[in-house]
Amino acid sequence: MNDLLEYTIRRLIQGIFVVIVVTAILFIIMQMMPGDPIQLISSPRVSQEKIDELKELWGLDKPILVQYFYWISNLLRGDFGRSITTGQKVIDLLKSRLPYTLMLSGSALLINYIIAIPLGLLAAYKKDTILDKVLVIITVIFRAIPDFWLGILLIIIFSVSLKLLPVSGYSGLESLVLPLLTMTLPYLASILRLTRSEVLEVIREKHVSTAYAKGLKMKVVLIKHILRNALIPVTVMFFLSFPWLIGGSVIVESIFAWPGMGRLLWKAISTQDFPIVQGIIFIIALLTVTCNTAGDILTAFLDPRIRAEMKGERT
Amino acid sequence: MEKDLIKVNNLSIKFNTKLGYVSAVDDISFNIKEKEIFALVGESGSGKSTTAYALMNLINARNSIKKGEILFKGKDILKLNEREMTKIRGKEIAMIFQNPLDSLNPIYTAGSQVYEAIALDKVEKREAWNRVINIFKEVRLSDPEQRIKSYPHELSGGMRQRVMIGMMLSRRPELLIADEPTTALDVTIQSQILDIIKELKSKFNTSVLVITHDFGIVAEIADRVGVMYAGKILEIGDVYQIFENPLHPYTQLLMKSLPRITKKEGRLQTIEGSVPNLTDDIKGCRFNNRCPYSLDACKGEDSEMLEIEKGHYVACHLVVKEK
Amino acid sequence: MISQILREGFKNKTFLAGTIIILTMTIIAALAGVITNYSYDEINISNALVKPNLQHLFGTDQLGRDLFTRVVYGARIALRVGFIAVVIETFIGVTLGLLAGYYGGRIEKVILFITDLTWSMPPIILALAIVTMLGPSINNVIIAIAIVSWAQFTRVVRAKTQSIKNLPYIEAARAFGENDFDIILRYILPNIVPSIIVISTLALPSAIMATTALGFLGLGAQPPTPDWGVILSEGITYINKASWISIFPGIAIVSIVVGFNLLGEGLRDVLDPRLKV
Repeated sequence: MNDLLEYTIRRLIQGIFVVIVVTAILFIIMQMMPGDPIQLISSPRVSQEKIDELKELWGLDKPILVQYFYWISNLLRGDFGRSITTGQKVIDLLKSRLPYTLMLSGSALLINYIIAIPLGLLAAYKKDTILDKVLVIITVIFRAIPDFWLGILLIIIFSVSLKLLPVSGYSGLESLVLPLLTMTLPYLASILRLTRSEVLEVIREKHVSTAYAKGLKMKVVLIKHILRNALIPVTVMFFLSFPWLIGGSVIVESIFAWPGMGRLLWKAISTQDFPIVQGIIFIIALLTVTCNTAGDILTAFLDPRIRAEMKGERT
Repeated sequence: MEKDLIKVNNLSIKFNTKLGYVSAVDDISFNIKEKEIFALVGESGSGKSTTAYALMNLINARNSIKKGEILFKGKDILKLNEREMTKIRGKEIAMIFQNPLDSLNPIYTAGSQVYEAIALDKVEKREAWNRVINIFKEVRLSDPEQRIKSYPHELSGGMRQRVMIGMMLSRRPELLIADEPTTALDVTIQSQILDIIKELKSKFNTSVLVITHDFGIVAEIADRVGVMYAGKILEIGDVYQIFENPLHPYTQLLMKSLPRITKKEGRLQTIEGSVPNLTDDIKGCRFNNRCPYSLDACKGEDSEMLEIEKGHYVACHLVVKEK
Repeated sequence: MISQILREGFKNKTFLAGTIIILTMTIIAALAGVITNYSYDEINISNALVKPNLQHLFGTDQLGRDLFTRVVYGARIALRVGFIAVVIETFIGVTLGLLAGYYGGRIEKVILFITDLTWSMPPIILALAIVTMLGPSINNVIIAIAIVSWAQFTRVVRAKTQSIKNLPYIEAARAFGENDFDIILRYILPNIVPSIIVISTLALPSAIMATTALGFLGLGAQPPTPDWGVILSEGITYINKASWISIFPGIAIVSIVVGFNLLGEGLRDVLDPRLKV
């Protein structure tokens, strides 16, 4: 367990370092963006004194490292500035939008894994039967469908032709169905594929024969020795895929006019509303690094070989 | 005379592959007596490992055809269902594998994997762990209290093989199958592992089936030997008969190719030619194309196993003719 | 290697199917001017939103443009953008992978840290950020895709280089005084080429998907360019009246992506069966 603690600490430090570098890059990019914050709020009639006063107030006369420090501490306190187009506080916008995005991506993530893991296991266990082949073909097809077109197809099928579900917006649970399907199907296919190939790989390993040879029941071998080993990479994917789903929400929310953060980002990019873009990218970066770090620590927890590798790297 | 523990009668195993049916084991018969060490020797691909897996009933039923019978204490193993077989595996027949690198599950500690086997016999927890520690002592792992907490990657190849042996003997099976138990290990470790197998075999009165390509191991450990080639058993006898009086040309050639310290024979002799393709329907003796003494009869019917002297069987037209 | 691909590839159904699909689409794209008599941006309002028929195989769009023509010209854009983006990302990724694998030490640490950085953002968000910075255009889309995707090459190439660099014949070359540049280029790179071909082929469909996605969001190619994503984003307004505008470009995307995936997986079976992508 000591190995694990050590690994966790090292990985956390590494994660913090990545956050610092990523935010530094974001900061530099924001500096290069057209539109000095002073110019954005001032007109030519504002006196130079007033401008200098504002510069001092916002720390713009300080060295760039100090400015970065101000900037990041503001972000960390949740002060992302105000929207250029509407003047609303960015943090308020995010607070109202984020729950919708989390609801969509979170449920997509859970549904993915609940369905994909048993199906992947089934496909692996029935390898080369018709069932396996059908599942494999379905995953190949879904991997090739871009999510935005899948959304459009679902609208054509369920809203336009069958008139079963609303096209867009949020008006209760039935509005969740199509965006959720759009987010689920492609990822479900890839998790199914991953589970299947991992299980097939573990089944071939000698230690599975050992487990049978010592007299364990098939069910025990399957759960304790095949599934437990095969699911390590799948579990890690669970964490890694959450940020991807949030990223994918930009497209899905745009198609279905879902009132979430992704759509807000898309609109902000179209209207060059940089404070909003900066706030959302900051949040997504934090979330991604957190998920990646959590994924790595979890792998180390589940797989003693990884802990050993980390130790080896150091010596 | 000891009783037969296992009796294999006319066992054939075919695999359905992309290239057609491969006849991995073809109509072989042999027996293993109580408390003896029987060795199946042969080159890789001779069907000896397939035979071992068949004894454990661990051959995938979906793409294989099995014929004949494997009588273990009178019951035909091939006729048992998975549930009945589970009761036999580990408890009555156990098996250790060639490569100890991946024959232990990398994510569990060595101790817990042995514990898992012992716990199958409804042993109370503390007692079971005590037995794990005892077993680790029996296979001469130093510092067993620490070792049980080690993960496989923290152990050397020899240590892992000791854990395997301990795990497989922990339920006191009547037959231990050892599939190339020392192949992946250093020479010095090899003899230690063989010693442990021999010692525990006499301690627990276990019979052992050793699968190997190495006559050195046969000489060191076996009571009786079966020589396999291309899915067939060509010769069976006790270890003295095979070493002192090999009858089949294949066995003779194998003996000649053994490095011997006593004789100055110069370079190793190798057998010319190659093993026949097992997907083809082979007529006659399978060694025929490489045999220096091949007769016309060898291309026709396959020779039956004949008892030449007591307990010494051989399947060869040449031997029959000379007699 | 080419003869190996030809010899074994045509026994491999996956490879064969992929080759047929991609060859067909490439020929259609190349012969766009011959295949169709319409121009992709000729507006004919009186002929707007016509259902698919013999004159207009895929129907017409809201401005009366022939949809079949637009989809066929769209294939040119998809293939061109995909190829350029993949060439750039291959170059960046392979170069950094070779350097990291060959030199190790601090160079490797820095390169690995940069790859970690690109993975610390979801690809679509990173691409959006880059396009926001550079402004929406097809060239900027290429840059964004290349920046987002080079790291997968680095990972594989680094690992392969590490395993090759200590082989006896490389040691021998070094002993004979070959310089690092020659060793990397003449001894190591040729051994990695098969894997690079496989990864590049499999990177093409992702690049094409990313292009159309950015086009769809209005951040890539701009109208009237017949980019498939742009067509789809225009079609969504008319989804109730003219669903064909939303269907055919999508089928085109799926076919090209399936084609390259099959081709790539077939190539992997032939060239580097153990490669994990």
